[in-house]
Order: sequence, then C-alpha cells, then structure tokens
Amino acid sequence: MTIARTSSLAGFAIACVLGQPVSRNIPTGRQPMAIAVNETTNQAYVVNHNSSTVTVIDGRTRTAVATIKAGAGPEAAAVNPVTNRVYTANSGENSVSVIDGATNAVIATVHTGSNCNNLAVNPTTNKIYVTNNFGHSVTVIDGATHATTTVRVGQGPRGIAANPATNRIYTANYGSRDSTEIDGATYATTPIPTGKHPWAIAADSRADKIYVVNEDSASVSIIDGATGIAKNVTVGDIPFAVAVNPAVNRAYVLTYAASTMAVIDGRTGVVTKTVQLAERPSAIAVNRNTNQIYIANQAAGNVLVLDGETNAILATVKAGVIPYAMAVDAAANQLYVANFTSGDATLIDIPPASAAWPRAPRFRAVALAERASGDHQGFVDAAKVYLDKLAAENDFAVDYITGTERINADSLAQYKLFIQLNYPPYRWAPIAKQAFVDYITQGKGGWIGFHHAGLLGDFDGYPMDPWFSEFLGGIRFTHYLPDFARATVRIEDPASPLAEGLPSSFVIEKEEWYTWSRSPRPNVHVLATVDESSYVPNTIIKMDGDHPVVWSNPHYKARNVYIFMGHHAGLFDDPNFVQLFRNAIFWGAGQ
Amino acid sequence: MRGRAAAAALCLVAHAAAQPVPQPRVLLFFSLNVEADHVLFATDALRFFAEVADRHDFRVEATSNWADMADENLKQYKLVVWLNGSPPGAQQQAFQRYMENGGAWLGFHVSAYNDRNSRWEWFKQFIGGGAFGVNNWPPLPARLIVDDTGSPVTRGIPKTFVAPVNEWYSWRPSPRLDRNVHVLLTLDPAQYPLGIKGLITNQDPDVPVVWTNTKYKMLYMNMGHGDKIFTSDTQNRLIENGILWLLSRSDP
Repeated sequence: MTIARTSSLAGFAIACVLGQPVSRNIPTGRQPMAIAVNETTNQAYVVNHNSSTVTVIDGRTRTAVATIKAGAGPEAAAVNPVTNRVYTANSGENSVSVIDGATNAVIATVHTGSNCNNLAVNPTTNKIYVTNNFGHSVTVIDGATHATTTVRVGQGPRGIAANPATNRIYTANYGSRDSTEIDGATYATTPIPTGKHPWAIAADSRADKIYVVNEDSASVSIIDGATGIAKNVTVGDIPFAVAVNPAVNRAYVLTYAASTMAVIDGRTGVVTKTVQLAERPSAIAVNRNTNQIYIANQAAGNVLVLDGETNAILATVKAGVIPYAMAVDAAANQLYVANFTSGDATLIDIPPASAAWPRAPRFRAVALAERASGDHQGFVDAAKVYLDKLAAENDFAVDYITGTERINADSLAQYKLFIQLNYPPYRWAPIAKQAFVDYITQGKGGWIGFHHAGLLGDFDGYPMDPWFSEFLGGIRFTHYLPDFARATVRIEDPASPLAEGLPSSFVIEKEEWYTWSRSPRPNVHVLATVDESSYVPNTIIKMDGDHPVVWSNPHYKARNVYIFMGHHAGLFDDPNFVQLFRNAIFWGAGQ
Repeated sequence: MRGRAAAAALCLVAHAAAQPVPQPRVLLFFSLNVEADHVLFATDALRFFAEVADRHDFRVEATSNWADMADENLKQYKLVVWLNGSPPGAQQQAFQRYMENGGAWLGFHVSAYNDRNSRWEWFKQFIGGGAFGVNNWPPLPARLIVDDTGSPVTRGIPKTFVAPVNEWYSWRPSPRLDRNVHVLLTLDPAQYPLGIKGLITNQDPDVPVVWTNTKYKMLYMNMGHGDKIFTSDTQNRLIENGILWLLSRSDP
C-alpha cells in the first residue's frame, strides 16, 4: 500500500497503515453512469450521462484532474491500456468520443449506429466494438485509423464482451433471445441461443467462458467459447449484473427481485452458493488479485466487501447516493463507485484482508422499518443513528430493511435479533410472515417490537392478524392520544435484565399511549406500565388503571419484548428510553 | 367468438318482447410497427378485451389503421382505446371532436407519451399537462397505492398491490397538479429508487399511474409494456373495471 505523502492526506496514511478500507467522495458531473480504469496509468474515467462529460480521476492523488466534454448522453466507457485511449459510447448522438489518456483531449468523434449504449475493447487487435441498441448492429472501430465497419447482430444488443485470447466478441441481444458471436478477424457472425432478455455479459478470457445474464428468464447462459454452445443455469428472478474472476474461474451474478448474489463455478457451470443480501444491490465488481467481491447497494448507498473464498462480508464502506456502477483498479487495489444521484464518485482504497481487518461481528440484527412520513420516520432515523453507533462500539452489525419482501427462513438464519422498528403487524408477505412465526416460535433469535408493532386491528385495508394479536398478549388496538401526553412510566420488575440501570420510575415527555381492548397482563410478563393518573394533559382515553407499556410473552420460545414508546425521534434524548433500548438489544440477542 | 354468439342469443331471448338493445362497440387502435414489448402488450390486450367483451356483452373491433380515426366512423363507437400509440396529425382533430362530443377513451402506456417536441397542445391538456419524465429500466413489478378506493374503477382492488412487470413512466409536472385530474393509483415512492439502468427516484416524488381528466370520459393507465401485464388477477380486474366504467358513464 502506498503511503500518502502530503500532509492533507495524513488521515489517509494512518488508515492505510492500519490496513482498512478508506474512502473519499470526489465530485463528478451529473448522473455518473459508468467508469473505466486504466491500471497502467492509475487513472479512472467517470462517464457523466447528464453532463455529457468525462471526469478523470488520478488514483495516486485521489483527485479529479480533468473534465472532458464528450458527445451527448454518454452511457459507457472502455479503455485500451496499450494505446492509452479512452472511448465513450454517446447514446444521445450516436457517436463514440476518443480520448487520448496522455493529454485528456478528445482526438476524434466516430459516428455509430442508432442508440449506441455499450462498448468493449480488444487491446490486442486495437479494435473497439460498440453496440447499437436500436440499430441492431455493432460498429467496429479500428483504433489506429478510426475507420468503422458495421456488423449486423441480433435484436436490441445491450451488452458486449470481448475475449482477446480468442479474438471473439459476444453481444447480449435483449430483443432476440440470443448472443451474437463475432469473429474478430473475419466479422463472421454466429447467433447463440440464450434465455429471454439477455442483457449483461462478461467474458472469462482465461477459461474461455462467456456469461450472459437473461433478465427475464432468471437464468445465465454460459457459453463455451470453444464450442459456441450455451448451457443455461438458473439464478434468482431478474438477474442483471455479472462479474467474473478468471483467477478462480468463478462468475458472480446479482439478482434484483431476490437481492441475491449467485456464485457460479466456471468448471462445472453450477451455482455453488446463493448469498442473500440484506439490501437491493445495483452493481458488482471483483478484484482478481485479492479475490474480493464488491457489491454496491442501491438504496443503502454503500459497498460491501466480500471475501471471494468464503463469501463473508469483510467490510461495509459508505458510498454516495444511488451507487450505479463500479470499476476496480486491481494494480492499485482501488475501487471506484459512480453515484448516480449525488453526482460523485467514491474512491475506496481496499487493502487485502489481513489481521488488521475488522473481525466478524459478534452478531447480526435486522431492523424492519417502513418508510413513513412525519414522526414515525423521525423515530426510525434517530434509531438508526443510535443503533449504528451502538453496533460500532459493541461489535455487532445491523441490516435495515423497509419491507418484508426479503424476509425468509434463509435470510433470517443469519440474525440473532429481529427489531421491528415501527413496522405494523400487517402487510407482511406470506413467506415473510411464516418465516417470522417460525423464528419466534422456534426461538431462532430474539425480537424487539416498537410502538407501531402493537397496532393490532383492521388498518389500511388489512384485517387484524390473529397471530400477532396473540403474540402480544391477546389484545386489539382501541385508541391513541392524538394530542399526546406526558406521563410517568413505572418499572414492575426491577430484577429483569431489561430494567438494568433504570430507575423505578421515569417520565416520558410525549407519547400517544395506545390503549388496547384489554390489558395483556394475563398472558404476558409485564415489565413496565404507564401511570394513567400522571397524564399531562389529562384525557379520558385510558385503560382503567392497568396499562402495560413494556412486556414480554413467555409463551414463545424467542426472547421477545414489546416497547410501546417509539412515536418520535425525541425519545433518543431520553437516557432512560435509550437504556431500555440498549438492554433490550443485548438481552434479545442473547448476549 | 363462440362465447359472443351465445351471449347474443341469450340477449335476444331475454329481450324478446322489448326492442333489442344494440351492443356497445369498442374500437381498439394498435400498431405492429413499434417497440417489440409494446406489440407484445397489444397482442395480449386484444385477447383480454375479447374476453371481457364476451363476459359483458359489448363488441370489440381492432384496427392498426389510424385513418379509422374519422368523424363518421367514430360515431359508431362508445369507447376508443389506444393500446400502444397515438394518432398522427391528420387524425388528431377527429379524435378531439369525438371526445368533446361525449366519446370515451382508454389509453395505455406509450399512448400518453409526449415531450417538449410534441405539438398537439389539446392532447397535453387532455392528459393532464404532464410530459414524459423518466422510466425505469428494465421493466419491473411495482407496488401501487390506490388513491381513491371509492371509485368504480378501483372496486375490489386492495389499497396497495404489486402490479406485474411494466416499464413505469414519470410525468413532469405530475398530472395530479391539474385541477381537472383525479388520480386513482400512484406508484408507491417507498420502493424508490425503482430500476437498475433507468431509475425512478425522489426526483419524481409523485408518479400517478392511473388517472382521469374529469372534463372528459377518459381514463389513462400507464401499464402496457411487455407480456406480463395481464398476469395479475388484481390488475386485470382494475382494467376490466375501467372499461366497464367508461362504457357505463353517461355523465360528461
């Protein structure tokens, strides 16, 4: 690892010595959509679709060193490291801009077919292959003369990959369920059937395998370059991205609908592992030198670093808003992330895994929080800030989800604790609900439910869920205090680990104090109640004196606790609430 | 066709003593010379409309010739449907007259497409003033929110449901801002960003997908891309409700 030399990069130097990933965000143009790197020169080229520019980043100084005007609406870029030329596919004007990497000047603009949106380079022959999505063709550019040849391919080519070792080029033809193999010497073409809507494509030039991702067939067609025959392998629904690591002969495929990464063994053509991801991924890249896999998470705005051997998550690195594309400079161990919405690129220095890397966390928790408006979202946002800090200090990890779509037996198996942060007890996908019921009844992990988790009744067109009602003590929601009240909460069981460090009573400044059809007390173990006589302002919406607000149901195997308080962010300014939250986490996770 | 003949026969028996009630006629416009996924939708839609017509005793005819959008011809139809396109300049006036004289319209997906190059100003106000913004890519399923559960169009439709794979369009400005527009369903922004290559993000916080301009007998549905549109019973019911609502409406 290069140690930074200037004082302004002192923080960098320290972090690099420690051997942990370090990132910085570098402003680019609007809507960066693609990145290409030149490992020979340690430069990266970020394509800014909406600005029609290319931002050049110097990997040594980790700064943007030039902004180059490209053609309109560039969508893709590729580098020929031999000639130090950079090519952008400008879909808005059907052209390719040719940039000299030595001077950062556009030296030619080459006309292509209609809606050119992707390109690949064969550095050995110095040919550039450009897909024309609406032209159903590939424009071949001679890198030396910029002369072009048009080759007809299948319908709507969107992806392209070259195998320099065999001088064959392969397209993914979205509209015609095939890939077109182009002989680089003769331009002869051969269609190879694939699944429906082939889109992403990557070539492993060492194994001579080409992986075509069929977006609408939940499959990958693996083309044997030697025979030209494809074999289909099933992955999750809506696969959309692929990266290969020739060093280990594996391909990695992301799926959108299931949020998974499928690992394909190139020797057998079999999916050897499906990794469930906590967040929806948007891009994937691999580092052939360190055998690391990088997965960008679209809404979470971060990048996971995975060990290519174990598929374990080694680190999570923050990126910008909506990471969209990634590229690896394996020579410099640097990863570039183009962030579509924030208009910047994240440059991450990622050293090889070592003893200095963070250990695997003590446990993982999953937090389910619907995206809401107003106070509830404020509570969720504040809870995330608190949880992330607590997790960092206590060596555990929290994954956040905003819906139940990705909850299943497999995904829950990795969690010691399920935190229902203001997600109601209805609107659960059937598979998620069943997996959750099993999780609770079989004690696979602990559960903390906040506030909205006790909204048991008919809401938003959903009938009351009888299982949840019983789990929470056989109750039904009746009312809430729309104008809030200040009130005193009294601890009933000071010996409980949940009450550790709490006074016998404390005041909560503002809550809605839900009422239920009856007290859950006959069915649960009550930890705390609210003193209804202490309400300020007073109200008639009460539970006739017995009003539990924190309780646990011992009839279920999972350690579980419902904490009524959770309407607004201000609770995190209350040390007693925070203590209760903290106690619940470590107790619930069995720590 | 067999079902339609049977339904017609029953109708004759039932109304033997009264004047036979003519079947309402519906004219579908489609094109085969457009984006492949729009052709797939139109092909499925022709079948769907025939089935609905059999069940509800109306008559469907389809044409790929925009010249059929002519005053005399349109007089025969209670409802005009655009499956995957909009008429060229020569037929636009006839459509405007048809609508202003109480005709009914159902438009799908690309049929409402307009951008800054579009010159048909009447249509822009007709559709609620929104120009095409962005679309997700690839086509994806999406969670929709029913804004108005009391409308005949949304009868029996849950408050939220996941609609099958479609390419969803955003509109700028949102047609909801037009005081004549009544939005029936909206893309749930909780699922943003929606898309992989093409993204719908918080830049479009309000993306109506089904709406009506209350000045006309019209309904627009953004569904209409690919071969999965009719794979959801819920969404099929929504579309069927929409057709029946337009056929039954007598108020302008």
